[in-house]
Amino acid sequence: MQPYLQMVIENRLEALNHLMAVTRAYVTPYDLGGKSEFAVELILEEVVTNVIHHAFAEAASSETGAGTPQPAVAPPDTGDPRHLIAVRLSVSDKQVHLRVTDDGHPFNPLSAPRLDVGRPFMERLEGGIGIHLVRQMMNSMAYRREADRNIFEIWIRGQDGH
Amino acid sequence: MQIDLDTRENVSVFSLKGRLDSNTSPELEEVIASQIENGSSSLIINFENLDYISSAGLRVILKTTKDLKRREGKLLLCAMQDYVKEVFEIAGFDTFLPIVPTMDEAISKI
Repeated sequence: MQPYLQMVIENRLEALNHLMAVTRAYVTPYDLGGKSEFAVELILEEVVTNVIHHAFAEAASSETGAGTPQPAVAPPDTGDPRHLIAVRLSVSDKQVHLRVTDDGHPFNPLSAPRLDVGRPFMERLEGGIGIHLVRQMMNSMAYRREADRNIFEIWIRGQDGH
Repeated sequence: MQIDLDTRENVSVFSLKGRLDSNTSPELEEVIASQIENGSSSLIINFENLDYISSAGLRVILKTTKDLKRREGKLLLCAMQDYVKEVFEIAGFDTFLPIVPTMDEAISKI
């Protein structure tokens, strides 16, 4: 099996389909269990979608992200094809290590406000659900800003008994 | 994703097949919005053949729930696979939305 999977995609939602298919094909032979495989796909989609929607917005200032609530409705794609997102995925000891790197505005997903799941449904905002799912489904995560890039790493454990 | 729409006795049943993600959710949002626009206010979404859902899919469900509430309509979700149901639970959607195990139960409750 390949030691790791590395892909670079454009900041377009359409690029996700191929990324997800390749990820599935890479992860499946490791037999992590259906639940963990689902979690890997979901976390990867949420993190990359978040970067596509927020990291390259022209109007965004360098303060975007940290402590700023996400908009209620995800903004449309910027349509700016000049940015690339690098995804690296590896599995060892039944643990998946995912790393997503982009050259967008500084954005620390760990500082995103927590979703209030107890809030009345009709008052729920449409933003913040993705990062909430990521937080709940991963085992650990880390963010750093390095050489004008966002580097977001996530670890997801395979299920016991697999 | 494939969306089959079946309208019977004023109830619109949307049967989803495949993956409800960032790329496919706008299509579902559009199909549902146009049914509501055409006066449909009793909706069932059948998840039996849906293998995957992400937050983009949850947003469509949240938006549909709000739209229907304003029109005093009704939405029922049914036949979810385990991992899909778990996503609803983690997001805290399951306590607010009627999710039933089978299509028959959805039809009888709508």
